[in-house]
Amino acid sequence: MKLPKLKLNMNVKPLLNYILIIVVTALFIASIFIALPLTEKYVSKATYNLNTKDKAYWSQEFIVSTEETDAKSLNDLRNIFYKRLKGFGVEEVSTYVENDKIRIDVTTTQDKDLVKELISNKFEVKIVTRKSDVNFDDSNNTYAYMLGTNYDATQWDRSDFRNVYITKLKTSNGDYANFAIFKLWPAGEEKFKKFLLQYNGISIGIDIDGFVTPHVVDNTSQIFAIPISSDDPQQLKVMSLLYNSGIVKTNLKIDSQKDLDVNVPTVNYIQITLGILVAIVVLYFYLFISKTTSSEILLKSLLATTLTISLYLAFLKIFQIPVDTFMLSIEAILAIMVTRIIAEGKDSVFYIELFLLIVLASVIFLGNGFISIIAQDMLILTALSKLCLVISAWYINKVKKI
Amino acid sequence: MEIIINLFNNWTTFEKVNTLILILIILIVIPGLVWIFTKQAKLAHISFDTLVIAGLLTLITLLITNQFFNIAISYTYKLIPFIVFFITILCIGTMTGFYMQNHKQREFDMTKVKNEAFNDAFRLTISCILLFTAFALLTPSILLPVLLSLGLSLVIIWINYLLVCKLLK
Repeated sequence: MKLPKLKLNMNVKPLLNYILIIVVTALFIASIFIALPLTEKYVSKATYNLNTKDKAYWSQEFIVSTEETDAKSLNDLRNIFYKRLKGFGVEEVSTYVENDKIRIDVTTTQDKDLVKELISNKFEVKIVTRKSDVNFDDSNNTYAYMLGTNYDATQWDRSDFRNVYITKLKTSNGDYANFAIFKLWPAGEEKFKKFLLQYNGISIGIDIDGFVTPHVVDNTSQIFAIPISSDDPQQLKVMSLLYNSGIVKTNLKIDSQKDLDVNVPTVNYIQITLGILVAIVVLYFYLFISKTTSSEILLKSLLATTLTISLYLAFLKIFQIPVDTFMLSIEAILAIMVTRIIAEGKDSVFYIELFLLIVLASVIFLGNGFISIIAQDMLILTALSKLCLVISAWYINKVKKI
Repeated sequence: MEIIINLFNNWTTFEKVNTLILILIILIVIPGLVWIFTKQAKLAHISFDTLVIAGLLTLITLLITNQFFNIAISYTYKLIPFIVFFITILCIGTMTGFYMQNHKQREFDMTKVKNEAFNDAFRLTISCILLFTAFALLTPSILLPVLLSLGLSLVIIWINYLLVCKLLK
């Protein structure tokens, strides 16, 4: 018996379009819901609360005294402290010279102990060789190999190296461990090789502030690297900054440290969301009634603005990125303005984006404190706004076709 | 003046050099790019003047706030220059974009740039007032810095327009 042929005269493309639109709409709505405040109260399976920095801030004043108190030494040291602390991500650093001492005011959310480590360490790096009269195998003095006093100084110190790069390398066991690779200035390479040649197979040491890390010289190795015991990324960052932020030439110590009042303003997240909603509604209502913009551009701009802000907030919430609430409101204002201008001014988009890119990138690298942080956020928001405009135009076009 | 000298002395050499490079990038690169794109020295001149005035006005406003109203320049106030320069860049970008899009048209003359500058200034003013006011009212802890940013931004937007009118005769 022959079965009747079932002919399905169905065009699959519109159906797929429908499904795509449904999925995209669901994603849009999901991002808006995640961005809204208090989502965490209704969703128990994931943490959607905004991770604010507000309560994590602490502020302290450190007074540092030095052996050399001439203006140049103190200013050089201030530079090094500033580079170390800024590199570590300390939000606000101010340094002053007062009564031949350095006062450092710090306001940050970073780890207190690590910040103190960056201020208190001289981190004087020298390559040393074992003293011939010291018994390094003495069972009564098992720490003999660690003490700088048991070693002779050589002509080599940190200034002979271009930088010290910390990375993971394979050990002889086949495992990976962190090492500090000392990169020489090109002019000193041959001389250093000759120096190492004298100690092939012998243990020398790298003395850091009086504590030595032994290193058995292997002339077959192309790099000069010493192992680092820590695996903690923050600790490694501190090590890298201590190695690479400049050479401290004078001995120093922290004389005192005092807690200061934290005066970083905080804004309630619900108020910010309300502010964003009111601002968007008022602005687009005005644009709608004033008829200065075509309804098509207005719709695209409104959708892109809503998407930009909700995607950004959803991203911050999902990945638990700590944020400053007072900056969030300013970022929202600027993001709304940028999105609207980019949506409206086809002819100026390239120029606005180029100028903003140059200025924001410069501020990120050369600015300090909160200005650098807001520039970073605005760069992300401007790129996101551009992307959301493209998505919005595509989405509106697809919905219109349906 | 004393406050500026104190502020300058309290900066490390690293901060001074970085700030100087940043100012040079903003004051030279942006007008330079305007000149490269438009080949119009007048437009580059307007961009440079607007940026310089924006910087000076912000500095004077912060000094007045600190000296005459005895308000400590906290972290939020330090964001004011960023906001003002951001909006200034938007003004310069829209002006350059409009010129580049239309300068090859037959009936193009600088009056069109003036008219467009007015429209842009008006639109930006409305956007700024609505957005900043909504936020200022709902987030009272940063009310004053937000209002100062709004005031300065509006002044800069219209100074840019006045410069367009004056220099593009």
